[in-house]
Amino acid sequence: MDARYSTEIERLYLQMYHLLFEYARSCLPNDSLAEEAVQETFYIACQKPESVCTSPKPEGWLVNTLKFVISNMRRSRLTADRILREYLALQISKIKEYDDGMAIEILYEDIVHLDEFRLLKEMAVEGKTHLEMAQSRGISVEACRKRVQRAKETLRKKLEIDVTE
Amino acid sequence: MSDLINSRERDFSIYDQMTDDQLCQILRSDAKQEGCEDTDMELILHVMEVLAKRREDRNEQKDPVKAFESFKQNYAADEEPVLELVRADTNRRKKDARRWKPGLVAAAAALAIVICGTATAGALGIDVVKIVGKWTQDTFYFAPAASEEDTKPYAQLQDLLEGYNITDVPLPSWLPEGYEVFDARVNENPTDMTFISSHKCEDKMMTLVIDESNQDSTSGCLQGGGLIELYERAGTQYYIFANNEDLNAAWISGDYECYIAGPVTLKEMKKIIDSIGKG
Repeated sequence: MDARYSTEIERLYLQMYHLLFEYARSCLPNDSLAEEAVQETFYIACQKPESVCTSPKPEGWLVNTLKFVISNMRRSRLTADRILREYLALQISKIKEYDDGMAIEILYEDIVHLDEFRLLKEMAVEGKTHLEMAQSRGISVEACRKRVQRAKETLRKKLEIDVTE
Repeated sequence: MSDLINSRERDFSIYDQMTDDQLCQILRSDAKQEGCEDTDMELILHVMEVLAKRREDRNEQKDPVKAFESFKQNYAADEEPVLELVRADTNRRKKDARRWKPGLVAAAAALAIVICGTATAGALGIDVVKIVGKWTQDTFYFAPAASEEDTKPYAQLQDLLEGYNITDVPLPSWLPEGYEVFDARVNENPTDMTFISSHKCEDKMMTLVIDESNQDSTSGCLQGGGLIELYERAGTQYYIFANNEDLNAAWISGDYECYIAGPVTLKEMKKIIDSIGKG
């Protein structure tokens, strides 16, 4: 990145961090998610340094970007929650078909230890941030994002397979 | 921060008397607005400043320097520095593997004009508002940092689809000369996903949309006037219709509705269709 841009983005970060945090906190349920929204906003700013630094109102650019980040975070979590609930409901309905107590335990254990299930549960139910999930797994935030996306798709496909069986 | 407050001429003192809940409600209401042009940015910044000042007075503020260090360590410290511009740029493509970087939706309005159309699309029953509504609300999409070896026009979209384990939607391998990839993004909604890829040639735009479809609604969406030709290839029917000065083609690929639109001739559109799934 051009040194002028990196200097300007750092200046904007230090100037706007608290303000953007307040905006995010008013829309999101906890401080961690609000901070993640701010960090994601500046990540985008780093992707488009010329756009933000040459904007007539860089502060407004950041606020508008934050709005979009918050909207996307909410949408992503809603999707994860929906997939999770559908998958869980389907599995529970299958569990009820079993009379064998041992089979029930095995099937249930298979669900809750499914990595995709745990990842979406942490996100949708426990409200964890990408950073928190990444740190607990020893991976980068970017890698965690991709795992979440793939987890949604994996469970979607499993839902389709289970429904058609 | 005080510079931002003092630089304004408008009187926002009434907001200084509001409770935190009331101020947060103002911000939440602003966040719900779909368009940024409706935001009273001066007011919003003032509200943010008031809330931040109150948090500072309560000694509850986090140190921004530490937050910035965390940002550099956890968000900006990828395999490479976060330095690339979002849009594919032939002068700056990297030689390593393709990577996806987040970016900001910049051309939503232009794409709306290209892809949505008008009475023609509406007469065909295509839920244009639904499609436009999805990606104009998109806030966070992934655009490629393409490698110099990318020659397929939809290589970036292919990568994006594969990232979502979608490997059974064939894409065109040919576009008219001069079109270069502009961006590729995914818009994730609570009920489905939409993948959009755009190519630009001077002031012309080609757009491809892949949308998770409801099979029940699909059958009704391709009827009506404006149809130029029903082109069949390899067992798939492609509906080609006019949309102002553009041609649109629509078809079903497995669980997905696909649309491609652009200022091309009928012959060129058929050539694009013929290239689907090849190479």
